[in-house]
Amino acid sequence: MKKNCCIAFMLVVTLLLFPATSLWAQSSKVIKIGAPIPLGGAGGAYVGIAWGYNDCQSYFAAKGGIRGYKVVYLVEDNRWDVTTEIAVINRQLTMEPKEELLLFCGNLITGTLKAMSEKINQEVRIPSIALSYSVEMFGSKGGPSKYPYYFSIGPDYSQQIALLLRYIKKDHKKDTPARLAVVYSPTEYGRDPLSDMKEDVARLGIKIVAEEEMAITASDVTSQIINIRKAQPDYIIWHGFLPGMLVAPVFLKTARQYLPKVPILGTHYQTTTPMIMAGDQAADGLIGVSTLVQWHETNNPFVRLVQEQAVKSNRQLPLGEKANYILGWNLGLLGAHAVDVTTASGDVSREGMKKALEKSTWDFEGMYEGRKFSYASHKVPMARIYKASFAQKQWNAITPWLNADEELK
Amino acid sequence: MDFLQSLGSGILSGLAYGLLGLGLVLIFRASEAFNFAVGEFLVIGGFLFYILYFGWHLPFLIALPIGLGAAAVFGAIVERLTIKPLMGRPALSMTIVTLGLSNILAGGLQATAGSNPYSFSLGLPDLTVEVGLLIYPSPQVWAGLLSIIFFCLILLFLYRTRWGLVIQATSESQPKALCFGINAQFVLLLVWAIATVCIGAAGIVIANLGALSYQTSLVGLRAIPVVLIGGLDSIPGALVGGLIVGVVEALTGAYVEPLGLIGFKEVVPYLVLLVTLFIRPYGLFGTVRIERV
Repeated sequence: MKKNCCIAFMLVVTLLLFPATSLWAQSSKVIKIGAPIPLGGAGGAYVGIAWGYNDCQSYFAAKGGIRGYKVVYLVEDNRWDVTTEIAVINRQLTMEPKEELLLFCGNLITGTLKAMSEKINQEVRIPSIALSYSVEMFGSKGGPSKYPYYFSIGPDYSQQIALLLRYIKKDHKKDTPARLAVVYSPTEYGRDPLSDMKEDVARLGIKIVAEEEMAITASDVTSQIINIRKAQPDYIIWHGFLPGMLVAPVFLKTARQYLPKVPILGTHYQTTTPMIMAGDQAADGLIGVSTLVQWHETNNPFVRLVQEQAVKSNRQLPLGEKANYILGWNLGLLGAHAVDVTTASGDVSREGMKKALEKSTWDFEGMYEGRKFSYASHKVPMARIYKASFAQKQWNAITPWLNADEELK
Repeated sequence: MDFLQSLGSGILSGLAYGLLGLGLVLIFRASEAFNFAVGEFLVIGGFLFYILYFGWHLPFLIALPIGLGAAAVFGAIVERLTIKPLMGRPALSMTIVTLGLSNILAGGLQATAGSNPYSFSLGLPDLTVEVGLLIYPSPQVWAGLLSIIFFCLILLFLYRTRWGLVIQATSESQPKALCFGINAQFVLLLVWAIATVCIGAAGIVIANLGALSYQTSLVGLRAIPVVLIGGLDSIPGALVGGLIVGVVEALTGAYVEPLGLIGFKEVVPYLVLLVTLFIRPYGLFGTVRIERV
């Protein structure tokens, strides 16, 4: 009898306390953002991204959170590796409360997006902002209709190349159609925009005269460059390379030796300061489309904010990490914006966040010279074309910010 | 014309591969161990020179010997810490140690030098060879030329100096060398130092073709087919193996890859290696060993 009384008493206490603990949990008002980013591994340790992310978090913490919500970024190393990143995402999904973990905003490699597409888009339904510009995920073959919970930080590679093709069309002064050579890495990343590009090229009356693949570990690309030289191109577009890849500087230096006057144009990851460092003098005059503002553009309010915070946090940023630091801030601010619009909407849930993001228009703290963009296409559609200056070790803008969704209608 | 262009480019790259292979051959001859950390040695050699030449702006002719001297010291330290304690044990133990060493050095490099590449243009006089449609860019010509110079210097040291003779004697038979009063432990240290100089020099000429980053260590993998084709214990074999790998890569890039076999250039040295090992299991110039089992 005594025992039964004890159990009944404990049951009553538990039932009474449950709503109270639940209320306490609500009043703490925490929103968590999963952030797998590369801090080590064979792909490279890009600590600038983590510093940027961290300082962005400190910035909002100093402001007392967002609309009374404490925002916690769950920054974790993904080693730029699909298997590791999937493990990180799965663990965070399992361990964090569903009502707190509302967003993933980080590296999210294309391979991860593919592997996790069913889980993220159909099972757990959590908005996920990725660094990927994959055409398959965000372009004509994917997009919100196929992957409703995936978001990207910039125009997909097809759009980036389309902007470059329009630049070529405008820049080409000869009466004959512009002759284009295309160089890409034999990876999913390198081949991703090819079919869209070929259709676009035909529409614009540009002629592809050479198509070459270069293995990312190649230390000699003379044969490919000779094939390109034989085709006598007016322009070269290269895509699918990162500055740290062995082949990137080898290509730039060899191309400059054999084809000194042919402009070379690249997509976002070819348009970074480390690429200038890699290519040395051969990088001078490179043209590229970038989705991010450059560190030296100090008249930009976003850059000023980032640099002020870097000083406050006493960051000693090497030249190569400045772009990564901006990228970290970019991700951090996108996450914060997502929290802002979601809490403003009143529906603080994963579904609420997705809807709020889709409806939002934003100027990204003034990054795009006052221009606002809509996130309806699940991509930040803004990009700009830059030209590399080796002497200044920087990319200088040669066009205003372009809204790819509008320009390429 | 394409053939000549590819052949020439292949020979120039092959000379650098040969120098890389020489570093491995020297170590193998002295200790029968294979240095799997060759890629990391290559990058470290490159970075030591980088600090002096690009960081401290020392003249090339001063930065080069000091940089390579620093690489030699690094090689000697590695030998003292990791190889010497294993002397007397099977050579396989030393080989396995180099595998672990490779991982530790790769992580250390990434932590200290970061993941971004470093500009690496030596700014040497322009030696571009241009005859009609044939072009051999200056960095490639310098790669070949410097590799030949380093190769010759190492050979001079090995075959024309007293210490070279001591190294050869020890490489032939450690017990006999000990009987003659040769300090085999010191010789092993010396060999590791010289081998690191070879690999570091190859790192400098290879980085000059592109840039220097921790991923440059991937070139070290080319040394495997080079030395196995030429023969693990053969100095001329390293040069011939390097040339074979360089030429085969270049010709494959020019004639096979355009047929749609993209990336075949990366694989073909290993196919040549396979064929060579079928015909001559000890490589083209390797010593045939008959072992009782």
